[in-house]
Amino acid sequence: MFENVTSEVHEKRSSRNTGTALCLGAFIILLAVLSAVKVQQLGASGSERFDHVQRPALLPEDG
Amino acid sequence: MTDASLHIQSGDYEPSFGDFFALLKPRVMSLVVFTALVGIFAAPTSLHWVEAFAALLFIAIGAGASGALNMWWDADIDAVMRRTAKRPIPSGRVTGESALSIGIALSLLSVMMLGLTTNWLAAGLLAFTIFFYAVVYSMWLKRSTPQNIVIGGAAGAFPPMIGWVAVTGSISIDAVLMFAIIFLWTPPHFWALALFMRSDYDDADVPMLTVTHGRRSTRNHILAYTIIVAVFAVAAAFTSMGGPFYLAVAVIANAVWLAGAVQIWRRNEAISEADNFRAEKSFFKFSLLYLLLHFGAIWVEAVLPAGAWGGW
Repeated sequence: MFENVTSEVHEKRSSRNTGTALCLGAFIILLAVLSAVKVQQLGASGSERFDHVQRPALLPEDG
Repeated sequence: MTDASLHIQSGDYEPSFGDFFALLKPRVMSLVVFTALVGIFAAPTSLHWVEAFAALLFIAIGAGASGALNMWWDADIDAVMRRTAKRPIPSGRVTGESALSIGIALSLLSVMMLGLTTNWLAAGLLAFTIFFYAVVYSMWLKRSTPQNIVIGGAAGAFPPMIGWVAVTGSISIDAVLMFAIIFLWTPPHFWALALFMRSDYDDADVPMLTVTHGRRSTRNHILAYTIIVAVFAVAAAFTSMGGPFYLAVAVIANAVWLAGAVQIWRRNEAISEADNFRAEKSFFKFSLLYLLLHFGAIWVEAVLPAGAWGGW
């Protein structure tokens, strides 16, 4: 009986750990894809706001 | 005595992932997902599909979180009612503290992520919905007033509005009507259940209308709310989310539901007990289909090309 109980406990812990790991993994993937979509939506001019360098669009033209 | 029951009684039962998932009330969540999805589809503008998926997921997680908080608070009455006695906390599979922690953590996560994914008005509505269900309904109204179902119904009515606001960033008459349909549908749906599950609510000392005002009054209330919801449901056909298809579905569904309400109103306890609450049970079953038909029709209107059956 003791062995049965132990294996049942391990099985349930394993299901819990696997479930939690899958949820966390899916959440990380969702965050990555969501970030990519958000950055894409900003477009070229929008993303210039976050690069901490002079915006090429604001530089005076040569000549 | 099985090993499992031995563990439950000794308090060291090892919960599985499914036990924690059951805290989120998956069946209620599926209704939330469906209505929120219709809100997203019916909106006049659109989101990137990844954003729409994420918004839907976080609305569902928020709804699940409020379900976990509700189960934590209501564990004592859940244990008394036959319908809820097998839930994770009263059956001893999950501790109340775990449910509370999961409820709070998922509430914070869902609100924050919905705000970052879509907009903060949608996130604010989700936060309000969780607060409304867990605090206003579960902790305050459910045990103190027979109008518990009426006001608590608002919590279940918010998801399509949140879906709409997630896309548009604002509240419009369409979103308010979607809210109104579920809000006004909830009381007759639950009162019909209370008519044929009476011992459950009596045993748990929950002040349902059937207990406080009597069963005659409950039948009158069911008819009154069914008439009011029919007006709102048909009126929704004439907004931007409606159209001829929705109008046809709404007229037929409301005619059937009204006929059921009139039947319940005309019956008394002797007649109901004689046929084991047949009319009340079929009214309750149709109420589930009623919501599915209305929101399904709104979805169809959003998908159909304008000019044909899609829109006016």
